[in-house]
Parts: sequence; C-alpha cells; structure tokens
Amino acid sequence: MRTLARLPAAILLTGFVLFITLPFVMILLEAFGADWFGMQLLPGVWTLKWFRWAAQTVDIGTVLLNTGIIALLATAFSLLLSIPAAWAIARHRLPVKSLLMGAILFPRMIPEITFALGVAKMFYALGLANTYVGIALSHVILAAPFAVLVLTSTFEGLDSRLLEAGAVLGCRPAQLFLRVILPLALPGIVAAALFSFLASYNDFVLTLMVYGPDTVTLPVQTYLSIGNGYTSVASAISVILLIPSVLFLLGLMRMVRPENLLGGLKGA
Amino acid sequence: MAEASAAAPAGPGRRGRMAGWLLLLPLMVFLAAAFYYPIGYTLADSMRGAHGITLAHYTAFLASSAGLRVLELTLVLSVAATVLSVALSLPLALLLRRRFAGKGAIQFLMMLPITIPSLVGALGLVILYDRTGWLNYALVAALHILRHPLAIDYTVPGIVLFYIWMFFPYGGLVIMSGLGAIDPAIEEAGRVAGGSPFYVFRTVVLPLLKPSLWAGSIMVFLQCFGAFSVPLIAGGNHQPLAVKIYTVATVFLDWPQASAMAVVMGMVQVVLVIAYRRLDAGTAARRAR
Repeated sequence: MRTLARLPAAILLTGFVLFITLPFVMILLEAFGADWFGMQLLPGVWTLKWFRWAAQTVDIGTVLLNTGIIALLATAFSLLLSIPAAWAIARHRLPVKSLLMGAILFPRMIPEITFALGVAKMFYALGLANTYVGIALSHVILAAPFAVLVLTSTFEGLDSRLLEAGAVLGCRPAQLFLRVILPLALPGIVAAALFSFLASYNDFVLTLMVYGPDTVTLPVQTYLSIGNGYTSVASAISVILLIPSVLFLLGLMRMVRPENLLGGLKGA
Repeated sequence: MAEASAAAPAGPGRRGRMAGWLLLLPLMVFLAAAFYYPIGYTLADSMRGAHGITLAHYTAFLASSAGLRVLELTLVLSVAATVLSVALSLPLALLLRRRFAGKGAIQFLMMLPITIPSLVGALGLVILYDRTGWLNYALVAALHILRHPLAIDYTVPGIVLFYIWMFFPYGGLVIMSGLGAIDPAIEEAGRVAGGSPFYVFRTVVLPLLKPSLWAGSIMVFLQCFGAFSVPLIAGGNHQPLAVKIYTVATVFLDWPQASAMAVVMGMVQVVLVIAYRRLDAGTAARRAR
C-alpha cells in the first residue's frame, strides 16, 4: 500500500524536476555546443566559440563591467536610503506605520512597465538616461523597498538592553551605530545588500527603458542578441547572467525559509 | 510581537519622533521623485488631449476591438496559467510536507524560476519547446508518438506553459506556507475518527487551505498579468498588455495611449494586491492562534 502510493509521488517529482531543469540544460547545450541543427539530441561539436563571439562582437567584457558598476551603485544607494528609513520605522514610534510601509512597498506591487514609461520620460528630461547613476537610481526604486522590509525586521529584533548598555557606557550615537548596532544587524544588512545587488543585476524592464549605447547591461544584451537571431551568443551571455542568481539562491536557502522570500523576488 | 520595552524609541517623546521622520526623509524624497512623480506624470499623460483633459485614450483602448483583444488575450493567458499553476502547486506542496531525501533540492528548483532573470528562463523554454527541440525530438524522433512536431513556441498554449514554469512558485510558496499553518492535530483527529486520508483531505484540510489557495492564485495571476519578458521573447504575434504598452510607446511613439494602458494595468494590479493582503492577513491570524 505504501509503495503503491509512492509511485505517483515519484512520477510527479521526476516530471517536476525535468520541467524546471530542462530549459537550463538547453541554455548550456546552446552555449557550449555548435552544429546543432534539425532534430538532433545533442550538438555536433562542443566549443567555446560563442563566448569568444560574445567577447568580440558584442564586447561582453564592457557589458559585464557596466552591469557590475550599476549593480554596485544601486546597492550603495539602496542601503544609504533604506538603513535610516528602516531604523526609523523599527525603533521610532511613528504614527501611520502601516500606511508608510504600504507607500514604501508600492513599487513592488505593480508591474515595472506601468511606471517605467514615466521614469523614462523623466530620466531623459534630466539627462539621467544612459548614465550609470541614472540606471542605478531606476533600480533603487525596486531594491530599496525590499531592503527596508528586510532591515525593519532586523532592527525590530535588536535587543534594546544592549543599546541602552552602550549608551550608559558613554557611546556617542555614531559609536553606538558602528560598534553595537552594525555588528548585531550585519546579517540583515548583508541580506539587504545581496537582494539589492541581484535586483539591479537582473533587472530588464526599467533598464530597457533608460539604457543607451554606453550602458548596455547583461539582460539588455541578452535581449538584443535574441532579437538579432544569435541564440547561441544569447545563451552564452545567459550563462554569465545566471551565475549570481544561482549562487545567491544557494546561499539564501541556508539562511531563510523559502516561504518567507516572496516579497523579495519579483519577475517581470 | 515586540513588546513595548523591546521597541523602545531611540529618543523619548517628540524629539525621538522628529528624528524618526528625519531618518525617513531621504527615502521618501527619493520615492516621491523617482516613483510617485513618474506615476503622476503617466496619469496626466494618459488624459492629455489636444484641447485639455480627455478620456479619449481610455475609450480608444477599452472600447475598441483591438484593445479588447489585448485585454482578452492577457486575461485568457493569466487565468489559464493561474488555474494550472495552482493545480501543479497543490500536490507538490502536499508532498513537500513530508521529509525525504532530496527535499532541499526540490525546494531549490522551486525557487529557481523566480530568482533568475525571466529573460533567461524564456530563452531556455523557447529552445526546449522549439519544433526541433527536445520535447519534439522525444515525441517524433525517439518515441515515434507523433509524425509531425508540435508547434508550441509562439502559440497561446505555449505561452501559458511558459507562464506556469515562470510563475507557479509564487502560488506554490503561498500554499506551502498555508499548509504549514494548519495544525497537524486536526488532521490526525479526522483520521483517528475513521476518515480515509482522501476524505480527511477533502473535508478538513481543503476548507482550511481555501484562503491560501485564493491568495496563491492571486499571486500567480498578478505575475502573469504583468508578465513582460516571457511574451516579449516567446509570444510571437501574441502581445499581452505589458508588451503592448511597450510597443505602443517605443514603436508607435504614442505615449498618451501607452500611458492610459499602463494606468488600467496598474489599477487592476492594485485591486488584486488589496484582495491578496486581506486573504493573507486571515492566514497570518490563524497561524498566530
């Protein structure tokens, strides 16, 4: 009876694993294989030529550099804005707290395209389009709200007795922050930083609306390569694009229960 | 919840509150400038006519057969993908309640589609379900089940399939957390009283899980309704709302029209988010009990 009941479960799980993993297998085959025409199981040749193509024809080194600089800027801006805000929400008794939280999280509740139009118009008018800072700022719209969410719960969890002890022992506010709060809240701050980095590194919709020739990022270049019909080059770029997400998820699953991640991840 | 002493303000009274507002100020100024102002601009743009305010862009969208076809396509894709996603998530969530070898790997795979850039997922799906892709290779060349390959890419059923791949985790996670909130003792009581596992599931677990099923459905629907990358890459001639907004703005350069469509889209999302939060609050309350 028990083994009979296990068969459907095994079929379901196997089907599920294939359903989810096969698209990734395809990208790997497409990126590392060539001469894969018609009805063939595997590519005829294994090669790194698509990565070389990506380096030569679309200057993937520069694209990677752009993406990294923008993501680092976005992470810095996101933390600078969200750490004080989350501290205020968590530790100062502000009225209308849930309304504030709603106003901060609103950008994550509607599709990017609904506000990307307005952002594009404004950024072009201000000369922020096609600049590192401008694209990073557009990503902060998505990154900062989630950083606030993570940091608010981190700061709420701090033991006030430690803060009081620090104050009693003569810490100035800056010292208190650097010596007491920062070490205690570090895991939350690191998580907020990683989420912000990934939100920027992976962003496509907002970037598509404000990028220019000097600020092509990995997702945009993937899209352009697909549009030009270079599926293999697009796959090679995708492999590079995927690395941070996979590492991030592996690291994250050690720290947080998957159900608690919903607010942080948002596709488009 | 934090007790009053645990959430003691940094400075007591009005000064502490004042400092709190100051700390909040930079983020609020940023969001006002970079998010709320553009939204207001889009709203104003959507009503901009040659002679003052007009609703012509809304009627051009909502009262034209072309506009209604876009809405219909968006809804059909989203509803179909939502129903099927929940149908896939429920048995999976039930299985994941038990401990077994490889459960962590399954959970990892469940999170993968919503962690990676949608664009990459869409690319992999298009290759896999191509006329010469692995599925058709298996059906035609290897197993000889079909004589001709199936057309999946760039068809409506194909887009539904891709949406399920991309967005079912949102529903799956909500349902998993809903199942976690149900006290196993209740089920046990049902089984001790002589109910078969299926009977207990249908009469005890399912009614308790209903709010989570609805919340999970809304979550998936929201993602499908707003989907951009998947239909952009894998939609072919089928352009749901998000892609249409993009094309109307950047190809036809009709920004007021695109803005009106974006406003409609945003409003639908807001209504659904409010519904979701109500359902979610109910689940959270039961979990706390």
